[in-house]
Amino acid sequence: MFNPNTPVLVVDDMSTMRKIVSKILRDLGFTNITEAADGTLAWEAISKAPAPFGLIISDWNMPNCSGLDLLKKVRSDKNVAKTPFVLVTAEAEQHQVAEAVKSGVDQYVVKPFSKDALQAKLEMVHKKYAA
Amino acid sequence: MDDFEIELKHDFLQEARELLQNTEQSFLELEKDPSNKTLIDAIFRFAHNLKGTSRAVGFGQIAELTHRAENLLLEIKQDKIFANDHIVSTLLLFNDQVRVMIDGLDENLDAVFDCEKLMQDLDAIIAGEVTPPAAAAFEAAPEASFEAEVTEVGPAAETFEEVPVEMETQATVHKLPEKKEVKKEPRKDDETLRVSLNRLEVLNNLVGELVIIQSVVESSLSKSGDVKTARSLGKLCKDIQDLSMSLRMVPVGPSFQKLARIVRDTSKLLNKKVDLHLIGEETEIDKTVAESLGDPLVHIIRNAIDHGLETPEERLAAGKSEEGVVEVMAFHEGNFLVIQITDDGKGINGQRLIEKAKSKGIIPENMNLTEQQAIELIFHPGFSTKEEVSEVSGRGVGMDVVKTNIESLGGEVKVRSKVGAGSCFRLMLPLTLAIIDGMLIKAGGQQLVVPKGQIQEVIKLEPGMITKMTGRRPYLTLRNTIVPVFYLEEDWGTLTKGEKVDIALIVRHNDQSFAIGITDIMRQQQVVVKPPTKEIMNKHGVMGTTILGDGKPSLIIDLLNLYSRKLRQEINVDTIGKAA
Repeated sequence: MFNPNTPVLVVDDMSTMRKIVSKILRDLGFTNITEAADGTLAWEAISKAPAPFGLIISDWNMPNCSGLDLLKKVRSDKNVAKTPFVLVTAEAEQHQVAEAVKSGVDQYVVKPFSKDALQAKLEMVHKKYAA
Repeated sequence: MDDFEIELKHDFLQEARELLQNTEQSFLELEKDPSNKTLIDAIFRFAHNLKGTSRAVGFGQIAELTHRAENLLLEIKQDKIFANDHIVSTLLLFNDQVRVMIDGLDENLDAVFDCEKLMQDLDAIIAGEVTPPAAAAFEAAPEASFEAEVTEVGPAAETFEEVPVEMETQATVHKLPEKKEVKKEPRKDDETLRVSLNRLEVLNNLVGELVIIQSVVESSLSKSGDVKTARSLGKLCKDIQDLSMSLRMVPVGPSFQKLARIVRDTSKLLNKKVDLHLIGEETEIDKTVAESLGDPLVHIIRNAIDHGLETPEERLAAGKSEEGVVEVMAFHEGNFLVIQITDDGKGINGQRLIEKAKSKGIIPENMNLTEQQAIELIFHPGFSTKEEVSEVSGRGVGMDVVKTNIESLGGEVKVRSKVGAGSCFRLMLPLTLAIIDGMLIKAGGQQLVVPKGQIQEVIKLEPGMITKMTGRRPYLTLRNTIVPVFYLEEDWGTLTKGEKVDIALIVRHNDQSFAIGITDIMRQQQVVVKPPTKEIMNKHGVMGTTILGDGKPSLIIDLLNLYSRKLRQEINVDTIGKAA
């Protein structure tokens, strides 16, 4: 599993959702969590981060810069291209997942999700990068 | 439920409420511009977020209802369904229902709601079962369908009636072109701290005390020769006071936003076409004042559409455009917020009002009124009676209540009207209720504070200026106008020996001035208003209490409220008025 000190970026335009995701992450042992309210702010946080993020968990449907836009930005910037990226989606967006996979998403979780569900996904992501 | 879950649920309710503030406006814009993609995307995202998050925090019912709305919005987004009037109406009901649920859940996190009918309606639209032509439902039986619209949502009916002003949102209300900015809001929100109004009130009170102490310290500093420190202290306190006052200020936008919905529903019901212009939504006002503004505004707007604006046919016949214009404009003027509601309708027919007032016995048969006085009859209590109250304007209150409400806030209402051209209502409200410019006066052997803003002028009374007649209100003549004279000691205290009334404060109410005889004016100063206790509230015009610079308490007397009421009660004033 990820090192608990891994800096994590949580992106969602709903503050309640950010709170939920952050709480689950804390319950999973993560101690270094940053939140961003949309893709643009997330990108700002990524470019300015003193230590690169070791994991990004982003909502899909957000104004201005969606989770998919953010993913594409991350993957095309060589400094951060290799950051593990998890998209949070609603069931309605599942059919769009193909595009996300093509753009290099590592995993996606469907809202609402439990601690166990996120943990399982994160373990898969971690395994992929550890290999 | 653990603490985190409870906190999360309340956080969600707060966030959802803020989202809802913008969506009603979006739905109304959608009706005007049904193919606006950006708008549809924004609305869809709202429903999408609401559904996802409500489910995540465990509000299944909101999630389920929103799921239906989201399905419908998806169809609209994909151009499979066109957002006609009926669909927008249903979406607005959805909006209302979510608001009711949020309010209900805020009180009881386990509350359950009946929204079966609404869910069926949403489903039916998606299934293509109902596609009534635009506004057909309204045309068929306007009144009945209006009732149905409202009662359908259950508790929402009350919401509609009372139109609560939710000032929690710090958002400035933008018009549509800036809609994108509104959606960016979480950014601003993240930098905002939510503080309970209660704490702000405590802060204001403490600052009030600080200002009092400051004036004591300042005078003793000055006496000991340290004028510089005294001045710095004074400036610092003034800055702190200004800042603490500004914390209570909120934009009038959210109160205005409600009006768009009122205009839509009212105009549909009455088959009138209305173009609503909102100007100055960012203008700020004390939160307490803003909260009391909603009802009067709604009433005036409904009246403007119902009684003011003509039907499209009448308008065309009168050479006007089919669509009536209602303009609501807010701006600051001195220490007041002014809200002007103007319509280009048929205006108020003073002659007709006089006839009505005479037939109701409100004014004597032989009384002569100027056109302006006649127009102001609409503010007379008991003027509107059941038979003339229509379905729309009859809901809630009469114009006299509007006037009383505004005046109880220390404001005033004025109306101007021209037959054929329209009417203009002007509401003037104090920017804050917490601090007023006061005049410290002496009357009836005690010190009292009166709001300086109410005083038009001060005159020195010379012997013989006041004419006294048995059984009638004494009066004085001021620039050829007869002004009734009241004495403050009639209500407050008695004259002590050697005390003489030789100053009159001139106060104006509507077009009528009146004089209030007092003994002396001590000084003018800003006073912090502390609300009156229950025992003295509304008694003899007490608007509050304050602590003076010397640490002594004093009552603040609302002269307008106290004497305009008396003036109305005293018929002989009319007689005097005519003699002029």
